[in-house]
Amino acid sequence: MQEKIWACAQCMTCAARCPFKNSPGGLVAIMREVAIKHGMQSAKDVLRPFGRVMLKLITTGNQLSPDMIQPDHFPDWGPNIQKVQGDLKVLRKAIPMKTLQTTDTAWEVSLKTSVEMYTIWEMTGVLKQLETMDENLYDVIEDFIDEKREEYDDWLDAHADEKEDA
Amino acid sequence: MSNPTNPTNEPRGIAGHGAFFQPTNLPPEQAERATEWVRKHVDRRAIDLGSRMDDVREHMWALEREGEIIVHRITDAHRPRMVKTLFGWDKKIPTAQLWHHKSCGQCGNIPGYPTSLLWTMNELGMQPGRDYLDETDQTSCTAWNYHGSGIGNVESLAAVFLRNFHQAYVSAKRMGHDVGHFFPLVHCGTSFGNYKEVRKYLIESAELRERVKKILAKLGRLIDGKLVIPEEIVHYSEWVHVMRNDVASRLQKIDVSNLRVTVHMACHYNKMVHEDAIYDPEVMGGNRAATGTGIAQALGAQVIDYSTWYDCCGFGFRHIISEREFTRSFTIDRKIKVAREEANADLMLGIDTGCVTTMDKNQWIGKAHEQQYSLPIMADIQFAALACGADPFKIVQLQWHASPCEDVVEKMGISWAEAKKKFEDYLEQVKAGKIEYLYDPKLAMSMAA
Repeated sequence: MQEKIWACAQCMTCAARCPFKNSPGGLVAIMREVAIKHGMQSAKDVLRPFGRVMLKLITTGNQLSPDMIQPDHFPDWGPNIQKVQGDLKVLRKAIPMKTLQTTDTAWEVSLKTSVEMYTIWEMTGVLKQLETMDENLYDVIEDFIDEKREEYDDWLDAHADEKEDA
Repeated sequence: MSNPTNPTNEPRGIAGHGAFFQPTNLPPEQAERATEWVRKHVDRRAIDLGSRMDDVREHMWALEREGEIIVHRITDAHRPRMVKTLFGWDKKIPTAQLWHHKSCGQCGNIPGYPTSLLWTMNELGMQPGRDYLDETDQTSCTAWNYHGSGIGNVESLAAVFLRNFHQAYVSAKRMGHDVGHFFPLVHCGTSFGNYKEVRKYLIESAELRERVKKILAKLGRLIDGKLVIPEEIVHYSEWVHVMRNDVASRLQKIDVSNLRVTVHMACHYNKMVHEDAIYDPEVMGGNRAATGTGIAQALGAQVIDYSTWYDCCGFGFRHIISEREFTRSFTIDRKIKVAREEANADLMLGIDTGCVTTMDKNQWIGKAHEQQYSLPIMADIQFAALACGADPFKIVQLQWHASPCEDVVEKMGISWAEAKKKFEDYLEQVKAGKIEYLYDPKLAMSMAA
C-alpha cells in the first residue's frame, strides 16, 4: 500500500464527477482502513503527528479543543491568530452559549455521552485499530476510559442513593 | 536528510506524502488543458439528471413500512419549507423545533458560527427550549478523524450517527414535549456529508443494521427495538437559505450593497452525496449549489463569481494538521489569490467548518513566499448577523479570526475600535461572573453527570 493514499484530501470532487458514479475518494478511505488493519509502517509514519488529535477525539468525542489552537501550536498561522488577547478561560466564558464555555473540549460533553461513545469504539473495533497503530497511545486512552467509567459508575451510585433518600 | 522509506530520495511521481510531494511543473498550456474538462463540467450544471440515481429516502420509507426502522418525521409543527435538490427532487427543511448538532471545529475554533446562528433564531422570535435546543448530550460525528486518519469504520460512524440522532429524537422529553419534537440541524458540512453516506449504507445493508442494532441496544438507544433515522439530513446553511428573505426583510439593519462577496462552497456539502444539495434557479442560474450565495444575495451584497469556485479549500482533514504546506499552498493559490485578483473581493463566505478555518488561518504565511494576499473570511451566518446589527465581538466573535475581518466591519459602517473597547470592558464583567447568554444555561444540561 503506497504512501500516496494519504495524499488524498477527501474532498470527493472525484465522486461528484465520476461518469460511472464511483467514488475514488471513498475507495481511498477503505484503502487507508486496510493499511491500518495490517499495521503498515507507512500508515504509522503518516499518522504519528495525528496522535494528539486522536487522543482528544477518542476520549472526549470532540476532534479538537480551544486549548489546542494556540499560537505555540500553529506558528504558521501568524501572530494575529486572535484579535483580543487575554486568558483563554475568560475569553471562552464570554461566548454566550453555555455549552461552549470550555477550554479542553470544543463543547461540554456529558459524562454519560462519553461513556456511550467508549462502548461504540470498543464494539466496532476502533480501539483495536488504535492498538495496532500506536500501542502507547492506546494504553493512555485505555487508562483514561477506565477512569471515566469509574467516575460514571460513582455518579450512578450517588444518584441511586439520592433516589432512595427521596 | 535521508528518508527511511525512500533512502535514495528518488522522485516517485507528482503527489504523495511529505518528501515525495513534487510540483507538476506543467507548462501553462498543458496545465490549462488538464483543467479544461473539469471547468466545462462545473461551470454549468451538466451532471445527468439522475437517470441512474436512486433516491435513498424511498427505500427508507419502505423499511419503515416493513417495521425495520422508525423515521423521525418533519411535521407541520417543524414549520417546514420545500426546496429542490440537484436532480429536482423535493427536500423538506424544518424551520422550528431544532436540535442543534454542533461542530467540533466551529465550537473549538470559530465560535461565532453557532452563536450567530442562535442569535439570528432569537431575533426571529424563536424561543430557546421550545423552538430550539443546544445540549451537552452529543458527540461529534467523528468523521473528521475518519477522513484524516482512517481510524474508524462504517460501523462506528453508523453507531455514532444513530446515537446522536436518537438523542435528538428523545431530547424534548425532559421539557415535557413528545418524542420527535426537536429535529436535528447539523452544523458541520462534513457531519452533513458523512451522515448522509452512513444513512445510505444503513438503509441498503441489513447486515450493518443488524450489527449496529446490538450496539444501540446496549446503549439503550432503540425505540421499540428499532433504529431511528431522520426523514432528512439538514444542514444549518439550508435553514439559513430557506429563511434568507425573512432575515433580510425582518432583521437587516445595515446596507451591504457596497461589498463584493465571493462564496466558497464546501466540498462535503455539494460533492459528497451531491444529489441532496439545494439548487435554486434564482441563485447563479441554478448552476451552483444555492446555500451561502442565496443569503448573500438576499442581503443585497454583490456576489462575484470566480474561476476556482469549485475547488476545495485545501483542508484535507489530515493535511490541516500534519501536512500544512499542502493546505496553505492550496488555499492561497486556488482560493485567496483568485478571489482577490479576479473578483477583487472584500470578503469570502464559507458554509462549513474546515473551509472557514483553512482560508482564515492560512494567509499570513503567504508572506514567506511573497504571496501577500489577504481576504476576510467568515461564515454566511456571521455575515448575516453583522448585517442585522449583531455585535462583532460578543455575538459574531470575530476576535477568533486571523484574517482581516475588521476591514469588512469598517466597510459596513461599524467602528471596530469602539466595538473592541466595548468588548474588552465586557470581559471585566465576565471575570466578575456577569455573563450574558443566548438562552437559559440550564437548558443545555441534559443530565448532571
